Parts: sequence; C-alpha cells; structure tokens
Amino acid sequence: MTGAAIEFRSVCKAYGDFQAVRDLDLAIPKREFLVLLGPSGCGKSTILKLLAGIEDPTSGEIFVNGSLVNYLLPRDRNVAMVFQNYALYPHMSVARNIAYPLKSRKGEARNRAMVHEKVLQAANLVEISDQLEKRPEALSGGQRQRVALARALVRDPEVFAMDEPLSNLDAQLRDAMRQHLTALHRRVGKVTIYVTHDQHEAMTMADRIVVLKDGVVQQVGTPREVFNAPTNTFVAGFLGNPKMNIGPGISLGRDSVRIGEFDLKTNCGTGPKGAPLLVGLRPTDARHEGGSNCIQGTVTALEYTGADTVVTLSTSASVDLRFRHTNASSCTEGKTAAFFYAAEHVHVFDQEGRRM
Amino acid sequence: MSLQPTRPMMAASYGLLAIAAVVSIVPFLYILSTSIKDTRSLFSYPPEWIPDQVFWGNYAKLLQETSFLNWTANTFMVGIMITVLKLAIDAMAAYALAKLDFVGKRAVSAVLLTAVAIPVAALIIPLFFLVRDMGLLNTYWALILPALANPLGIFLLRSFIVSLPDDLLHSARLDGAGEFRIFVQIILPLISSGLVVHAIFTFMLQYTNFLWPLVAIQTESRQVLTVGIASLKSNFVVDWGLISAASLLATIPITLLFLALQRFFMAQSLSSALKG
Repeated sequence: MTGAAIEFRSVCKAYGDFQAVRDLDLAIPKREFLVLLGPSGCGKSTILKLLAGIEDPTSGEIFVNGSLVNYLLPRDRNVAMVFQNYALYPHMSVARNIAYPLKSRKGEARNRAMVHEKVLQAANLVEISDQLEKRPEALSGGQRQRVALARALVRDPEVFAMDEPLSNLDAQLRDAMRQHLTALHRRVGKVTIYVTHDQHEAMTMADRIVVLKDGVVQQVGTPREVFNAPTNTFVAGFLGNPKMNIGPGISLGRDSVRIGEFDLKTNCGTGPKGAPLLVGLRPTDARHEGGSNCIQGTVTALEYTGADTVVTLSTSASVDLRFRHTNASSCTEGKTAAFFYAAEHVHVFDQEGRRM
Repeated sequence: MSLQPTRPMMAASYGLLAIAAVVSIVPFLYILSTSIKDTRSLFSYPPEWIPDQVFWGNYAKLLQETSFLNWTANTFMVGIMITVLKLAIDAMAAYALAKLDFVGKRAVSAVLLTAVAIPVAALIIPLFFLVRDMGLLNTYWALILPALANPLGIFLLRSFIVSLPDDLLHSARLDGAGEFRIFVQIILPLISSGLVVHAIFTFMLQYTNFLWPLVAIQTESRQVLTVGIASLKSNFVVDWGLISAASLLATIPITLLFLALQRFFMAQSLSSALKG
C-alpha cells in the first residue's frame, strides 16, 4: 500500500449515458490541500460525492488510509463535507448545528460536557463562539460558512471535502475566508479536497491542482507547474487572466516556431519542420522590450483595468492577440505596438492541443 | 393597469363580502335561535328571532336523554387516532417518495395518484364488504383504517419535503445520522407547517364525514356526531329544537380548533403561495 491518505483507482461514474467521471486515478498524500478545478459540469463535485459516499462509483475503487471505502456508509468514512449552500440545519441553533455530528454518532461523545467543550473548540477555531445561540437565518453568509466549517471540524475527520464553499460570498469576504481556510488547513493538518471553478482560489490555496474537463483529468500539478507548463490548450486557456493567446503556427524545426510572420524561439519541442501546430502566448508574460522574440501589430483596443492595461493587437497572425501592458500610455489605438517574449514563455501545442 | 383599488371598487368588494358574511352567519343565528325555543314558540307566526322566554330544555334533553356526549367522545377519539396515524404514515411515505431511491418508486407513485382519482362513493360498497369480511364492522377500526388509505396527504407533504435541499440530507448522512434519525430530527421539524395543515384537513374531514360512519357503524352508542345528530330525527317527529342544539354544540370544538391554529394555517397558505 502506498502512503497516500486517499487514493482513487480507475474510478468511473456514469448517470445513464452521461459520464460524469472517467477513469480517475489519483493519489493524495497526507496533509495535502488539493484543489479540483474545472468548469461547471466537469465532474469535480461528483468526485467529492464519491469520496464522501453520497454517490456510488459505477466502477473503480476508493481508498482512505489504505482501506477500501466503496462499501462503507457515508458516516463510516470519516469524511467531513462543507457544502456550497452550507447545508446548515435551519431549525437548530449554531451550537446544535455544530454538535450534531457528535450527537448523531452512536457510541461517541454522548457526554454533554464533552460535547459542549468540543463545540466551543471548533467554534473558537473559526471565530464564531459569540454566535452559538443564534439560528443560521440570523447569520451573514460568511458566518454561516464558518458554522459549516466548525461542524466539519468538530468531528476531527480524516478528510475535509469542500464543495465551492466560498462561491456564495462577496469578493471581499471571499478573500478573507480564503486566507482563513489556508491558515486553518495548516493548523489542522488534514487532507483537504477543495472544489472550485475559480482559478484564483485554486492558484492561491492549492498544494496541487487537478484540472478537470468533461470528467477527465487534464493535468495534476502544483499551481506553478500547471500555470507554467500546461499539458494542453484547455489547461492553458483555463488558467490565467486574460486568457492565453492560442493561434495556429508552423514548426521551423529545432527550437523555433512561426506564428503569422513572426518567428519565435521556444523551449518547447517543435516537431518536424513545416508541421502545423498551435502557439500559445500568455498576455501576462509579455515584455515591453528586448530580444528578437517579438510580435508586432496595430492596436485595436485598450482595456484599462487599473493596475495595467490589456492591449489587443491585430497582426499577421490569424487571430487577434492580447497583451498586458503595465504602462500603456505609449499605446494608442490605430498605432503599432510590439511585445517581446522569452523563449520559456512561448508555449507550443500539437494540433490536438497537447503540449510539445 | 393600476392595481390601486378605487373607491367604488372598494365599496363593491365590501358589499360583496358583507353579503357573503350574512349568508354564512344567518343560518348559524337561526340555529341558535331555534335551539333556545320550545316547541310552541318554534312554530309561532310571525317567527321571532329572540324568544320571549329562553328555553334550555333542548340542551338538557340532548345531554341527558341522547348519546350526544358519547358521539362527541367517539368523534374525537376516531378523529385523533386517524390524524396521528395518518400524519405518521403519510410523512414517512412522502419522505421516501421525495428523497429516497428504491425499486418500484414510479409504480408506487402511479398507484397512489390513481387512488386519489377514485370517488369515495364508488368505494363505499366494496369497502363495506371488505370491512365486514375482516370482522371489523361496527368497530372504531372500521372508521379508522379506511381513512388512512387516502393518499392525498402524501402528495401534500411530499411537496414540502421535495423543496428541502438534498445537501441538507447529505450533510446529515455524513454527520452520522441514519435515515430514521434524519426523518425525525431534520425532515419533520422543517415541514412542521405542512404537518399542521395536513392535521387540520384530516381532522376536519373526519369530523364532518357522514356517509361511511352511517354504513360502517350500527350501534347507536358507537356512532359519531354527524350520523348521531341525523338520527335524532325519527320517522314521525322532527325535534328541530333538539337537532339545532346538537348542531350548534357540534360546531363549537371544530371552530375553536380552527381559531387556535388559524394564524399558522393562514401564514402557511400565504407563504407557500409566495414561494410559488
């Protein structure tokens, strides 16, 4: 047995003809904060439900701490889940909500004093111990989310499964909660599997990111790996804002590719000379000067975002290209502009979209 | 179009409501008036609303010489039994149909839905044979058991349970609760308003049921109020005073019950309407 806390082996889940998860193989080491990232309908929530036992896999095996859990009831899996809509029991006070996992378990802490102490501990961890007597309806979104967290914490589970827990909060609160969650994870030190469609959350919180599309894992890696070396055009396009420019080009052999009339050096493979391929350039990797790796064109649009400006160029490449410019006062619509790329930032994909 | 009511519209609606109020209240007042008259003043012409001499004899006779108190007790006993059992059965069935997956779920739903469509009158005769063959004729069970088979309440409660988010149940399952615990601790408290509505409907329906008790119960002392009151009218004489007194007394408990729960009842119908 491997040392992984959680392991999925060839797990599939189908709803009728719809394949929600296909052939998932994933090992998650202890203490890891793993983020499942993908657009809606990519199967990321289904994976959580499979792990928690809310859904049964169509085929494949799931292990928690080395033991097969496929046939265990949700309550016997030691997985605590935080739901997107919090799923608090509306007719119970905050304290009773948090205590519920303790009270509903047979043979566990029936001792009132002990339950009370554990509830207080969990409430303190998420800083809601002054709200214990209120009903969920009297709390704000952020407070409700904390109660849901406390209810998960109180069980002292093996795994935390979080299904888009921050998506119902406003931007400011989300920021604060994100930091709170990361800090909490470090303190508690249990495996956390976190589902989101927000790349920012994924990049900032994850130890590793799993990018999913149509139930299939596209790439597994640290935020840096996934961002800097996306395995295919889907991952490349999904991460990064503004989106990576991806346009058709051809191989010049060796370590150069051509997009439009521009020849660019790259660290990626290029395949045989003359082969058609796809070239990817992140708007955020653009530099304003230096080198021969240069794209030139006419400015067709300027989008001011505050810290910087997104410049759209019409070039000899067959698609419009966008670049981030930190000081766009030199750019004017209708005039030409040039952007430079380091070879390591020129991504090359084959025609099926796989990284070369 | 403006929804602001104009003065003539207001006047018209108040007028209509006033007429409706008179139409529903006058018969009650007439019964009240009849119940406190002796036989002679009952038929005096022109009829007088308030008799010169208030006559309590009808009430005395009702309570002393008839089985009225028996009938009332029977009605309550049967009504409460039916309401309690029906709520328990319907809520469990509704939970299963709303939130659980099991083989034959669609078939069960279809059968229940069909059963709603069968008119009671068509069931009376087969039901009579069934109850007779079970040896339950002339017992309280003859009144209680058939009433439990009405599936309408299942659909009412099902609609309440369906509206509860699935994640709530998932969460409870993860928290370690079994199905029965989820049902009792999570579902029931959250559909309490639905349960109250169902309880009132069930009890009222039972309270006013006439046809089936008439068929199923033969012993006078085991009869319920509706049939009992009707039996006060013999073949030769109709004691209007006595019947009026009985009718009036019979409406009191159900009126009190409704008043007590009315606030809840109205709020619920309103909120379910708003939720759409």
